[in-house]
Amino acid sequence: MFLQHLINGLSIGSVYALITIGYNMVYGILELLNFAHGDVYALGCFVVLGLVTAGIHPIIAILGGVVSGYILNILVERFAYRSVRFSGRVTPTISAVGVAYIMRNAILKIWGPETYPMKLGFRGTQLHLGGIVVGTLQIYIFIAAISFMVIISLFLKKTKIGQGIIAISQSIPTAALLGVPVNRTISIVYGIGGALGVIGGILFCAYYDTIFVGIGFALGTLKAWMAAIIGGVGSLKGAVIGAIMLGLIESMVAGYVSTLYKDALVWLILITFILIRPQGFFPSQIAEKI
Amino acid sequence: MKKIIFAICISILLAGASACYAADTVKFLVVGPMTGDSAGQGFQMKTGTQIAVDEINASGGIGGKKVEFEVADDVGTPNQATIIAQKYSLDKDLLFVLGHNNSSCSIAALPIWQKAGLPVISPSNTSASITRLGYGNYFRVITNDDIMSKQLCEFAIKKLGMKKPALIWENSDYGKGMRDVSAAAIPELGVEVVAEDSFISGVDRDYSAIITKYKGLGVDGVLFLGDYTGGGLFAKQAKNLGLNVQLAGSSSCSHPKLIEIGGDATENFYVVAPFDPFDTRPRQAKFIDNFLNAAKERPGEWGADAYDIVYLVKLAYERGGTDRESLIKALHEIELFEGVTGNFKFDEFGDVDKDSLMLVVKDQKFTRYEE
Repeated sequence: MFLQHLINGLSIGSVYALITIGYNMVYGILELLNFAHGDVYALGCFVVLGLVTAGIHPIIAILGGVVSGYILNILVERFAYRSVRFSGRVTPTISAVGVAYIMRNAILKIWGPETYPMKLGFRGTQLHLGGIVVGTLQIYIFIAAISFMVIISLFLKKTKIGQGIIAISQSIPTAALLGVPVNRTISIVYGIGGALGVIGGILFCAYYDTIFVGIGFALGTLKAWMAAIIGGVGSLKGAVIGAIMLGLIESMVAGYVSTLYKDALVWLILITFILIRPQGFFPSQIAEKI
Repeated sequence: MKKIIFAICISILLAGASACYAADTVKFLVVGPMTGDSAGQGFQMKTGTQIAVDEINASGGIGGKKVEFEVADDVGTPNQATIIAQKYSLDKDLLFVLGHNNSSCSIAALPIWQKAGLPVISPSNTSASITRLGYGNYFRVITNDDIMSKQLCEFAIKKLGMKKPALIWENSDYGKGMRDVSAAAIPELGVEVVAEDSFISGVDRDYSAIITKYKGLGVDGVLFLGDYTGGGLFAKQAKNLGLNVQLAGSSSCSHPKLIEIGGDATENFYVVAPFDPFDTRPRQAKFIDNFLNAAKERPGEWGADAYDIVYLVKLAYERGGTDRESLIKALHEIELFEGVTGNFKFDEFGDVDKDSLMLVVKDQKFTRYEE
């Protein structure tokens, strides 16, 4: 059964990974604990639910959700973070918590907290390999996580905007002096973060065939943040590996130790990890500001 | 002069007070989860109440007074339940409270309702401990979990033939109560509980680790003691991971949404249910018909028990229970109430003992299990 637990952990981990990539991009570049990430993409996912329920083709509905995630996060950045960008670390964090509550309450107002079946049409099948069960959807999600990691890495390394983003993460004033359009670039970072979040959220919903408001904070922001801590803040590779490790830890603890104390034990492991290796497995390659 | 003003003030106050009691309506509150993971149950409470109130008003009301009710949403969470209780305990016009749906909500809100002297009658609280907490204002018209869990365990072991059962329970007052009874009842039937796991309702969505563990342990049956959302998801994930075992669940799984969420994986899922949605006796059949017309779904215990509660209060009111205090007394004094959910009377704790039955999912619909 160990192998099956391993597969389960990898599957949950890949779902977390997609969510963490977007989260970690923003986290790494602006060093802002973005507590609104999950609730923003949850709203995007509910937009998809609304469109699908209205009879729109799932592919178009998903595109609509991704675009709404992109726009939402740009708006959030413009109105909730930009004005407090240079007010230390606490103010933007509190501003983010405020945005999270606004998004969550918008979802609760429109859809309420119930669980809805999410019918997107791509359910996948189960492959039975000598007693071990692997879902094809699980494989697609794993591939999607790795692909997005590679695409975003290339985007950062090879494009002008990507280089601008890296410059900003090193020093905003210097980047501005070198002609990087700071506000526009940061907007793009947030937009991409939101869009990636919605993609991750949709795959999460597809994996469990359901959608509910908890995909935002409890299963989104919190898991992404834990994964980022394990993997390394600001590192894309770290995001993916941290998320997969988190999935594995959860799966193994629930499978071999106790479901009753699962969350407590997972947090205990995380706290111990922070004490031993606060920078995570793969700290961002960008040099610290001096 | 001062005396005259004082006398006028006093008479105005008295007039106001008597006007309050002389209101020409009987007003009460329905409180339950109108949104949230058990919203389907709240919807049933509201519908069952509405049907009873419409029938009573059409035939002259209660003691010649029109009946009306307000609906409040506790989302099925204890913290929201206390907020609702604080708000509505200030409403002097309320005669009684029909609710809550979730045991944990009642436990949290009861001290506040008791302070206001309001009788609270629940259609669906099954946690055995509530009636032992010592609140004299509390009643429920559903059999508690001590009894229903024992019935479920007996059925699972004796009829379904589970030899290596696992228990999975919702980590709440409701789930914990059932877990304690089941974990004690199963060994008495000569079978060991092979594994036990818990989940947090409304948060945990992934049961793959538990399912994999059960496969490894050779579990041959799972008793799911929790809400229908969890039950549906568990059934679906168990099927996907190839855990093909007999599933049976507590009464809160006996909702059509179990099938909507779990799909064809819920086929042959047994649930214990306090009410038979396919009852053909004339009175029950008429109620079920009316409910189907109003709600487009069959009533479960939430709808049927709420319907009975309104008629129960009508009877108590006509026997002198016209204010909060005398209503509590009158409810205790009823020697036999004949409702659509069965005949019952309250014991000194406010508990009832009614027969339950088993339902099973066949062709994506709940049907009554017949031996």
